[in-house]
Amino acid sequence: MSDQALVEVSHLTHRYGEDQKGYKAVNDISFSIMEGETFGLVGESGCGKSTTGRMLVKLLDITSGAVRFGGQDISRIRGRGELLSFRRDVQIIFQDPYASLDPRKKVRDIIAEGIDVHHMAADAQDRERQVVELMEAVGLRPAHMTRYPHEFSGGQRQRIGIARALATRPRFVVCDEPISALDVSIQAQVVNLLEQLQRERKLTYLFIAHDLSMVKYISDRIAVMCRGRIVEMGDADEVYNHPLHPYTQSLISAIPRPDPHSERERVRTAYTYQEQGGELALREVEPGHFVLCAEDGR
Amino acid sequence: MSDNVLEVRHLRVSFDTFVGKVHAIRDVSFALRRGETLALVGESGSGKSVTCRAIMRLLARNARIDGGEILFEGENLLEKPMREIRHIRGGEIAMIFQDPMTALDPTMKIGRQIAETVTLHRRVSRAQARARALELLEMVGIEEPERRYHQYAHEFSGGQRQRIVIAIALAADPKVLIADEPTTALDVTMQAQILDLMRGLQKKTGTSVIFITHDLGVVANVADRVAVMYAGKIIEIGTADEVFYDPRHPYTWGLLASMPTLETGGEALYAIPGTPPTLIDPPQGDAFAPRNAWALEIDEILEPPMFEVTPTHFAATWLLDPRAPSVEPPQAIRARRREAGQ
Repeated sequence: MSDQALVEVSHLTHRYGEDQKGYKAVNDISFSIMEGETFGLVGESGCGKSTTGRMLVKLLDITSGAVRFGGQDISRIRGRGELLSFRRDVQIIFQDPYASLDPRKKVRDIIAEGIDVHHMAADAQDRERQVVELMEAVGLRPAHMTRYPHEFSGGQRQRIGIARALATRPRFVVCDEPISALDVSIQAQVVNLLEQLQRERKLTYLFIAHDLSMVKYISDRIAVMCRGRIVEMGDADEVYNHPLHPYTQSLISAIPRPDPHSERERVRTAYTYQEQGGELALREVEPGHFVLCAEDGR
Repeated sequence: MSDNVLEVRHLRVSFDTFVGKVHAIRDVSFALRRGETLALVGESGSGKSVTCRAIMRLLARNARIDGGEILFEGENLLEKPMREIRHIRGGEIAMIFQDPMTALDPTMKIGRQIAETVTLHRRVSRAQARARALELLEMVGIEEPERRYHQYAHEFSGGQRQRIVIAIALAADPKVLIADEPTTALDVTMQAQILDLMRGLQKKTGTSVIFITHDLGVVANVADRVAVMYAGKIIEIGTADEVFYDPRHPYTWGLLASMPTLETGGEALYAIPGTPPTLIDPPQGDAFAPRNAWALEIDEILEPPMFEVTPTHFAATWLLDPRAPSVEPPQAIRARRREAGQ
């Protein structure tokens, strides 16, 4: 991980609905993702984490605020050439490996789509060679390249989705709940694969999930979202072991752990949202550890 | 009265599909004791939901029960006429489904949906049914039951809907409650509340619960005993403490070791290699053998029987045979044993 920011998000907002009354799914969030880092975005359904991910890859328009990728403001991308180059560098892996693959395409053509769009293969032979290489990299058998998605299990389909994302040799990959649709024994396989690929290909990840233990395991830093805002952000271990915001505390206290002794003794912290007075802002309470609070500290 | 309210013996269920016969349940036996929560854990396709649908006689039309018995209070449900089953289903044995969004009727007020279940199974007047419905709403933690009685399902949040589904399940005071992934569709904080609610209600009503889930964290929270299923069989069964702190089957080892804990970091996660087998042509020998790093030669040929570890703890692995070599389980499992020993 370098100290060079690859992705810089500042005051990012997305409003669903046309007018000012629309719902702010993402409300003024700011963070940076360093080159080579895995940045985890956690929160419950409706908190705005997927909306954020989609804005970062330009699948959703930004209402206000800015996202810079490699120094360039992505809402100022003009023309087909610039957009293509952005799309090559930035890829996304979706949650549902059943819905995100075209059922009428062979696996070879699903994986090679990016290669074709960006003219990354010299000829048919080279295209095939790249597909074989990608399938091997994600642990699929190249002999299966002429099969269709329905012939694969959920875990294997997610590997196809990963291979497709890697085909354009991206620098930044948004992983939007890539393991939550998978069985327990397959989740660990996919997480290990993502980590291995990150090392080999020097990738930067935004890892979006609601499963806190897995996010904590894979991420260098974590941001916790609630109602469109980042309520806490910091080093993964620090946020997990010393949560400061009451929402983070309640979230962590709610995760059931595979340990009957601790489950019997556990006390849950409930969190009820209340409107807070004062100007709320992410404030650095300890080096690198930010909490959303008012000026006076809560 | 026997200690067991429900007993499943040598159950076999298969499905006829266009690709062949799927052997979904391959000789499953277990007993549900009075007042306990038994968790059935396994991955998708392991047979946990099919087992429960067989108990409820809710199997799809292409399903066939190839053998076995399901004894409820000593009587075999598989031999009863549908007329009697309809009385038992919802009355004596109730079920909670995974998705609270689709389990409720969107066109009927929720109060009536609860009262309907009461009148269906109990001889009560309309006023009594209504009073019981209000009492149930209160019991599952719905505030202002009088007002909410007249609302429709879409006016409730996901967590509240699951509370209403629980109220309907408990409407007729069932002896057995089957909960099929009741919290999987919910967020973690909502899940925590529903789990607390279910535990509280069980203490109050003394209902026996079969809790189906794939989440070992949830199991640790709710279960008195745990049965781990793989490829249509129970491969390990024991008290929660036995299964979590002294697991004996390599598949249970793999499941527990592949979950990151607070302390995990840095090193790669333990992962079970491969994928579960298809049950169209179940493999000869132990179905888990191809994914099992501790497989013995005999696993390829002969299915392991259930070996007794303690009078309450059994596992189907040849590693428990006295002639088997002694093996070292993964690091995470050794740590669990040490933890429990303290």
